Amino acid sequence: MKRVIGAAAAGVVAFSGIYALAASLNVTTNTLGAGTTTVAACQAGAVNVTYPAADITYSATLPGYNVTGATVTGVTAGCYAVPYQVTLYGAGGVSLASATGTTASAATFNVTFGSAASVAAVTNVAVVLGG
Amino acid sequence: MKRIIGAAAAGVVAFSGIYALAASLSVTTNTLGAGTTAVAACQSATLNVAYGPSYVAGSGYETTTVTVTNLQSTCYSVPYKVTLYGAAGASLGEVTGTTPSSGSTITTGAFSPLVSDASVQGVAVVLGG
Repeated sequence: MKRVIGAAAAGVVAFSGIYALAASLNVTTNTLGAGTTTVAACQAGAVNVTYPAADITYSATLPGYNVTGATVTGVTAGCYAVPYQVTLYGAGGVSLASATGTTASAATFNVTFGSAASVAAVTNVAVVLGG
Repeated sequence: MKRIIGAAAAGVVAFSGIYALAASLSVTTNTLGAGTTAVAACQSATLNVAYGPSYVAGSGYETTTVTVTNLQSTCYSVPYKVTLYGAAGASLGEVTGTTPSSGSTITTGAFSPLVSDASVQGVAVVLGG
């Protein structure tokens, strides 16, 4: 019984100390957790980017031809209705034009670039699906 | 005594639960895929453009069609556009079509309206798409 009382007394002292600290410094914390998971592509098959004639327009400013949009084909069901980003790159990896949106629930979707890019300057196209 | 042990046990259980949550945080992810590919011209050889002017009474010489030569097989059967432009790059006329599936020459359709030869300063050609 004495041991119980002693333990209880120690507990009171200990909790008193905690309350004293709590009175002097108010600290809160957000939750924190960690985990990992695999980030898979939404499809294994290749998508193909084409440039319809309607998206190839003459620019007097260049002068020459600009590309203003593209069509992405070969999309499979796993990539339906997911966010996309399509970017045209030029020399040195400089971004020339890009488009963002959501894929259609179909094998093909069309994109319109935020700005036109000179056809002659385009060297690469990058596509991101999902996210 | 039982109450103290019970409280301590409850505390252990509670902290165990918190650590378990932190250690086994469940993570899910949306799919994400990215790829990059080169956008290459269908041929590297230079195309040559020749003009087919016709004399039009009252207007002088005007270009009706153009002929593009040195077409390579890699550019067969692809869409093309040809624009004749004048001062400040202003378009004077455009013709569109599909390249042939053989040979090395594209003969365009007629510009409409015809383009005055005197105004032409340059030509822009795009193949593929």
